Amino acid sequence: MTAAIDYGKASVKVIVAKGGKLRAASANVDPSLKGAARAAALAEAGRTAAATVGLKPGTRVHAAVPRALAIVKGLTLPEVPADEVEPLLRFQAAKVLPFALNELALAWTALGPDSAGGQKYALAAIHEKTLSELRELIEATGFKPGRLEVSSQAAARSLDPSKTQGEVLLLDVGHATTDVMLIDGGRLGFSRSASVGAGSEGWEARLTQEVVRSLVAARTEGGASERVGPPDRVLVSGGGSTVGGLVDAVGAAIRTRAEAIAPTDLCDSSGALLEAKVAAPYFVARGLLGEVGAVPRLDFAGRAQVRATQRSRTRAVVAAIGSLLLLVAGIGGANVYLDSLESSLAERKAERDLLEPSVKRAKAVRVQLRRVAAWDARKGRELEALHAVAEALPDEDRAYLTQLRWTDGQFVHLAGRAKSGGDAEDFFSALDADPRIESARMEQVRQPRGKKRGVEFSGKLRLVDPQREVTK
Amino acid sequence: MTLRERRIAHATWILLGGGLLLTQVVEPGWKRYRDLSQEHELAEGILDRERALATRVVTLVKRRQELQETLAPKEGSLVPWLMGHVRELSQEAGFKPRSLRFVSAQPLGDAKKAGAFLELKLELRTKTSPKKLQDFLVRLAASERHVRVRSLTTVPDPKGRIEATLLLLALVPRDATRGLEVQ
Repeated sequence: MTAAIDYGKASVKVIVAKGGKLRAASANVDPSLKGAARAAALAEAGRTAAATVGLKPGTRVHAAVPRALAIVKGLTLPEVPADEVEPLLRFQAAKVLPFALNELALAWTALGPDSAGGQKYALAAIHEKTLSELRELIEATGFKPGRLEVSSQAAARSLDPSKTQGEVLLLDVGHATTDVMLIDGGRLGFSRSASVGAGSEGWEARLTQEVVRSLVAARTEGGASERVGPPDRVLVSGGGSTVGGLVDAVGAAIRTRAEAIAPTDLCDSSGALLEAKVAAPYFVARGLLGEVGAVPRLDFAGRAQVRATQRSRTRAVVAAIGSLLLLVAGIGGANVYLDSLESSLAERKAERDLLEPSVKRAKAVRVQLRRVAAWDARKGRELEALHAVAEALPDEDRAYLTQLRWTDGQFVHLAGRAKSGGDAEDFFSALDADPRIESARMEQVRQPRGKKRGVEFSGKLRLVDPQREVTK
Repeated sequence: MTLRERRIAHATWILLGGGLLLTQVVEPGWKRYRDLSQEHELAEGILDRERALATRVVTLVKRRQELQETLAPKEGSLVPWLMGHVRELSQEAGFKPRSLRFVSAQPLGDAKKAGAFLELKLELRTKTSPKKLQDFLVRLAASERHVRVRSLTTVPDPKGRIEATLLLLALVPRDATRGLEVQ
């Protein structure tokens, strides 16, 4: 679905291309409204017209930028590569436009070669603020902005190519303004907006004067100054063209026959073709949907999109270069850091090598001193064994020792005699219960040789070794 | 090339570049950083300990020197000096050794390494009362001299005395053992 909207002074016109038909509808707006009230009224009228032709909210619509709000200039540039056109045009625009370029949205289109071997361009400029207001208005109406094209360019494209042979003067008469266009050999070479329309007081007389003045200006500015007399055709369209006698009055002023013209392929919401008088106000809107032929587009949105794309591409390239530089810097920095870490390691190794003799000596001495301390800690171990045995030994008449053999770090071997085996067992049980003794075991109990009474016993015990306990 | 194909090509290049960057630059760099950091941390710890140890070397050597001085006589021979000490303790305990002889000398710790200290073995045989033997052992343990008992064998007799054989160890500095055969 393709749609176009034309916000006029007294009405809003909408055309929708749907199902092979162009359906058109309009809604009136009070032309006396101003500011926010007017914007709200335009949006409401736009919604009403769109609803009439079944245009759904959220659709992308192309809109006309009133010629009166735009500056359109013809420029000639030398033949340059495509990527140099924009800077050159901007350079020229800065010279010919009365505003700073950063306040303006620009659009341009090539018109073809000129006689001197250069290239002709149509350059259009509009204040960014005005363009933003138009975008906001479209969004307030409920649509997404599509192409935003200068109305005179769209009107010229609305013409049947068969009617653009020779020099054609085209008038689009609106309620407040009239766009005057001079099409020469199918090419729109001149356009202007006259502040006179069907809603102005005494407008018919003023309009004919404006038309004559514009024709002279067009021929001078458009480079067709050699021609005099009336143009080959004078065509009048727009809502004002339906006012009785206007077309004849214009023709009389230029001394030729003028024709009323209107889109011929528009239908109403029911699909019935519109009469010429009804279709005439849709001339600009119809051009917005027209195929690009001899009259190229002057699309601010498209140019802005191209510029935005270029900017985002430039940003992407800058970001990529920046990232690459950051990456390289990061890798370089990391390498420097790692190198410093390596050299720091080498320094430490050198210092260790330097310290090595002292460290070796210190370790050796420390080992010796520890051995001495450990050696010293074993003093008096035999006393522990003797005390433990003496404490565990029962009364002398029950048991006594015949031998005690102790060696440091080994078993203590005991041999003795007891009154009975039970006394010997008591002795070893007492030894085993002593916390200083790790284990005590009686190994042998036997009757003594000869007629001796009692028993002989032997066994062994192991002392708890504090150093071994620490090691555990 | 269509826009889609261009996007696919760009994405492929980005993926390829990213992959190469990751495998050829980032991953090896990260590994190098990790290894070096660990090595650095380890080296720092070891170095700190070694610095501390190196600064202690003078103190340690001095302590060993002091110790060595207490383990050897200022004048005279080592073995008679040690034997004199043992005899003195036994006299204080109230008995007289039946025999006291030098047995051998061997290095303290690892025999293969020439340490600063040696262990001297002395054998003491006596026949005395258990109380006196105990007194002797207590005096020996309490003595500041580095002499201790390695092994002890006691055999009591019917009269209440005990036949005791003691193998004594004395810690001595290697420098003081000139003339002695070291095993």
